[in-house]
Amino acid sequence: MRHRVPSSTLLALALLAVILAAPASAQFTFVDVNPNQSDTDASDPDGASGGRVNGLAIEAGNSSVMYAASEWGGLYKTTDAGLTWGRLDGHLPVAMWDVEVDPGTPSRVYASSFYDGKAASVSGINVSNDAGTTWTHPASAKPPVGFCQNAADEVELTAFGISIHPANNAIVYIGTSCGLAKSTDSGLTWSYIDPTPGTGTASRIWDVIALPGGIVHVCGDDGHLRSNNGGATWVASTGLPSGRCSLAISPDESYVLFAAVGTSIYETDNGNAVAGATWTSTRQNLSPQGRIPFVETNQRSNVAADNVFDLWFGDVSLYRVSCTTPAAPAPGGSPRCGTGNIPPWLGPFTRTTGAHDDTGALLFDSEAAIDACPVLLSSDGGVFYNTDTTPDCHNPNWEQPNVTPHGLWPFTMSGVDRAGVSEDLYFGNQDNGLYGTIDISSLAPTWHNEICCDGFDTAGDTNGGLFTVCCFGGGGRSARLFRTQPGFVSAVEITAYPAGGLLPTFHFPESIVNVTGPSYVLITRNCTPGAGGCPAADGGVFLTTNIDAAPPVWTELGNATEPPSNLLCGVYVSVNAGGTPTFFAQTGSCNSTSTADRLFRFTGTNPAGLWTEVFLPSGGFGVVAVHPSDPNRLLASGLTTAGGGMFASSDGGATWTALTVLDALMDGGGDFPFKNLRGPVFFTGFSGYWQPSMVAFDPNSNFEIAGAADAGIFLSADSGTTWSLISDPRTSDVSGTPHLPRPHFAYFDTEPGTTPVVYVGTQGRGIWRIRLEAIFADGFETGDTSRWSNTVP
Amino acid sequence: MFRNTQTIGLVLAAMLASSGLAGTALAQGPRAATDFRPATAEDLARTIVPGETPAPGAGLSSAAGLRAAGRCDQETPRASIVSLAWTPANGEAVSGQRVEISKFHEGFERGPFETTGTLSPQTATVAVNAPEPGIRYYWRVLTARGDGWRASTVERFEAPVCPSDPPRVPGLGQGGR
Repeated sequence: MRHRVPSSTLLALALLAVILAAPASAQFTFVDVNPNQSDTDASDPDGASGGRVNGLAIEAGNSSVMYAASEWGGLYKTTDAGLTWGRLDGHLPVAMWDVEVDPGTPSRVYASSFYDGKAASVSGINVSNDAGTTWTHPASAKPPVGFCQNAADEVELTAFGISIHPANNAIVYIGTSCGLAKSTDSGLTWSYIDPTPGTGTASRIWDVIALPGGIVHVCGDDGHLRSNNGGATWVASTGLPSGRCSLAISPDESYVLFAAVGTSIYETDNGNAVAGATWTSTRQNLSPQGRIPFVETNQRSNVAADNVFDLWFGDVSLYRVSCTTPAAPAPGGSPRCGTGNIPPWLGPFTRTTGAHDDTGALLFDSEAAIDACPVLLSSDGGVFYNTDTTPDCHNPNWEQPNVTPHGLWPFTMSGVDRAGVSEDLYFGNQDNGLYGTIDISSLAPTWHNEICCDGFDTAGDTNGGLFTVCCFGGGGRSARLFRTQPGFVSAVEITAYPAGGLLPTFHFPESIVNVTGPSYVLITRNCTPGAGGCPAADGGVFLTTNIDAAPPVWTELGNATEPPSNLLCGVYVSVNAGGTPTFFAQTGSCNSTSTADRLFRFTGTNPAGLWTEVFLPSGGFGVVAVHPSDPNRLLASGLTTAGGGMFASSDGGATWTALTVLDALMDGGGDFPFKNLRGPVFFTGFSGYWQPSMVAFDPNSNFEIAGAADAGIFLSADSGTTWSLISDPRTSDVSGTPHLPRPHFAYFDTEPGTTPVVYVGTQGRGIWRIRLEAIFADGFETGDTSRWSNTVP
Repeated sequence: MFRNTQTIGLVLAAMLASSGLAGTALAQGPRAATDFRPATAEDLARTIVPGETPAPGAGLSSAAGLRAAGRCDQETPRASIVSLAWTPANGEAVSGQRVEISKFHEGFERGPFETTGTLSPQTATVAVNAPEPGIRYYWRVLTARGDGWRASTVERFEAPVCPSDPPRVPGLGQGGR
């Protein structure tokens, strides 16, 4: 067992972060309330709490120190061999790809990241000279004007794989979305190289390997190329497709390389050929998916007279195979690791051996020169350390850390109001499953991870919770709806579905919403009968008055005038003082990536009622909020190709007021373009996005909250008249006030006589509690409950 | 030939001349069988000339406005579909079109690539069903005119990656994906 004494430094980092705002008058208290572990890990490691982690790095000669590049939540570090992880707030870009530690200078760390949404971006390449505490983004780390195949990459750069020269650690190469970046002075300055020279032709390089003698291998959109002179000239290979890729090299032969591209595995045994390498698809991928397949090699002890090494391959799962270097090494010859499935893969080494599927990277013990144990695996569930330190460690047994990274991306979040201070909170994540608690108000909530994988919708009432989860196979429904006891305990699939199919994809509004008591509204989409278990084609908006009935009865609302049911993506409800519900249904993308989303309104529960469309003054609907008890009060973003803005309505959407003050906050005075060009919308979906990511009303006060992808979280205490930035999107490492990227959900817990609280669900940093101990210009002060009331104005 | 065993299915889902429907009708339409096939020696040997930039007011000598849109299939986990759309060349001399697609940089010069059968002169969209996730595909449209094949510009698209994990629920088993 690898159990090392945690350092006090890291423990301090890893404790639940209780972060006080920096301003002179403490206005807000931020608390990271994410789970540290998953309680389903023992039975199903695909339930997890770390969120997606991509690249990993280990300190040379000290396997206790490792780094993990979270896909959406920033950079994490451990100093106790992976038991506890703490976030490095000094690395500002939150969407990350890779990280590497200088083997000769362990305090020097390189990190690559996706575009950060800033006009003066610091994404792409960042360098730390103090082991990750502070970071610099050199001015020369940006590509020259006119260099990139896509001009947007000049200002919205993404960087990928990192390679440090094995014999001269001052030389560093990093693949980017605009060619290859090279530094010869340990990251102080950078120059850009296009291996396929031309005017404006530099495209994406996903991985790079630097070798002695000026040899550099790259792969990416132009396939594989090799340089023998440090990148001055290049020769193209044949046989390796273009696209997302990973490279590895034989520990015995510098001309034997392995690659993963798409979902396939390739090998070349003449990587030094003058005319260019020849690649062959060799081994079979037993579990293809293609998110970020990788290859790694590991030197092993000779077996009898054979000089052997291991090839590791990760995609959905992790496998290894023993490879043999010829007795007289020379270019060419038979594939070193066999062909087809001969010799067979050993494994899989993920879900059945303690780790979440969908791998990202693998680290080996840096204190061993040969037969180094694999020590850490990253995947869609975070990171997992190997508990086996015996010679059998090459058949790893993975375990979740005591404190995982908190890099969760909730696809859904909802709360249940209970009398008193204890409330229920539910959220469902990308890949990591559904979580529920019945004590979100406590200092450290007790979370239950009921089920793994993608949780797309949550809702609840005082009798229990509801969630949808994806993606079941076997010919039945792909996405399914479950009823649980409070806290998401003991899930049971509902016994009757309405027509159409649940929506098994990410969209931030809920597909199911509690109306009141056991009554729920649910949207379904048109689906092809038989596809994904779809029983009928026509979707719609359906109401049940009792979800606990056996079976629940679903009544469609306004089928004759329904919104386009092939495009339904979100539903909202407001119940007025008389108990009459008003439903709003959104069609389109529902994730603020389109200008074509529409909104429709339906009042009452008469199935023959009419849907009417609501229009903004300009643009399509982005984020939408409806006041829970006043259907006339709406907040929304209007998205246009040029940008758009925020709007409020007090007459149910008949007329709108432009919230120009909020607009100005959301673009940070120009620091954050309201609409960018190449920002990542989802993993490698580089189509740009709009800043508005969240709006919500507090049902019990005049609080309103809004969120922007990169520009922060904004609060109004006067029903939207004035707004204030309450998070710190610029200098969180200095101020101590966190940057909470891409907030998508808010749940208010305001009880008379107590300090108001709002829980925010963020894409990459999970769930945060914000106590609104605010001092506003109008005199609202902490504890001054006379200034707010339960009465909706 | 592709060494990879995974083949690309190309769906001719909308033989529509209407560019207004291009790229959207495909994604929602039924998935028909495909006739996309590996390029033959004859394909490689055919004479292809670059398209010409039309003079103002003149017709297109080659297909133009190539665009691709990919998305994950919302009904089938891990599956994706990419819609390809373009504005066909016009004029009486146009007798047909082909779409060519390659996983490889300079694949149309050095191979390998795949091609459709001959499409009607009015075809403006096709869809690539189940492309290999993460691969950067190159594609172009060839227009058959009286004097030979005119090639459009070569464009690229990245096949969407659509991860999906099968849940395990007591009594329900787990998914098979």
